[in-house]
Amino acid sequence: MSTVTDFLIKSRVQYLATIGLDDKPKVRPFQFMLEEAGKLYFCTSNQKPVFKELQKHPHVEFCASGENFSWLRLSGKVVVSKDLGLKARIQDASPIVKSIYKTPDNPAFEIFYLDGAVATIADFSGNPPQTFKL
Amino acid sequence: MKPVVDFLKKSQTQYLATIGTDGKPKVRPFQFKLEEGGKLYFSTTNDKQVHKEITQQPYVELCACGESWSWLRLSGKVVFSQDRSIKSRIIEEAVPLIKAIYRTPDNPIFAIFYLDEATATISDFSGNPPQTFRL
Repeated sequence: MSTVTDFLIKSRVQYLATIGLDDKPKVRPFQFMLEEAGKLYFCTSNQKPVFKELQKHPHVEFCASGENFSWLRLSGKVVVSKDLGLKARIQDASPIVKSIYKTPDNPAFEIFYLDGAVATIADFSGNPPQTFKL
Repeated sequence: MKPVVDFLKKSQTQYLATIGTDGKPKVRPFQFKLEEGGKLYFSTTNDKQVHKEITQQPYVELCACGESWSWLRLSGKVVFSQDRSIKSRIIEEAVPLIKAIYRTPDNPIFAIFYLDEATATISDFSGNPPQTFRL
């Protein structure tokens, strides 16, 4: 797990692919928040199209680039969490998120983790990609 | 068109989202190659999973980050091209890493495509509305 978490933290920006309400693929920048009890957490607003997309099609994939032309692909099934303590920790960990949502109980603020997550780290070294079941 | 091409060039890496053969979304790093005749060209090889995906489901979206927390989203329908002169240009202008993969424009695994019905949006956190471009 720590290899994947480290990659996510270092990459700063990840790109989240979803299936749109029009059934076409969508992708936008996203930001990993934190790992807790082996789960990788992200957050968004339920006012955004991406949240409606996640509800309709919960299987998603993230991609991020790392050092030396390496890249990570992380897929899994989105599970929305209502854990207020965790929402507070995410806001404390991210000043930007805190500035947007102010409080953990902001009704627009949603957090989710990936269930059945699989990550692959690949590069051009000629070595096979590393796969992690999280 | 020009702001979109400039954004793509400066970003170096874009992320291409497709629908997988399993029906789930996929995304991987990708690289814009060139603009020609108002079309945005990309390349891949036909032995890759992504080639299978865009053949089955040609609608795709690309995303890239730019300066000052701006980002671009570019969607459209993949149209494969057999234009040998564009293939040659893509190879000539490619970084050595890509050149080594494709070698010649006649390489049977080398595939190029452009986006039809393309729409691009450039957004940022300035408070200004996103700019939309129909290409």
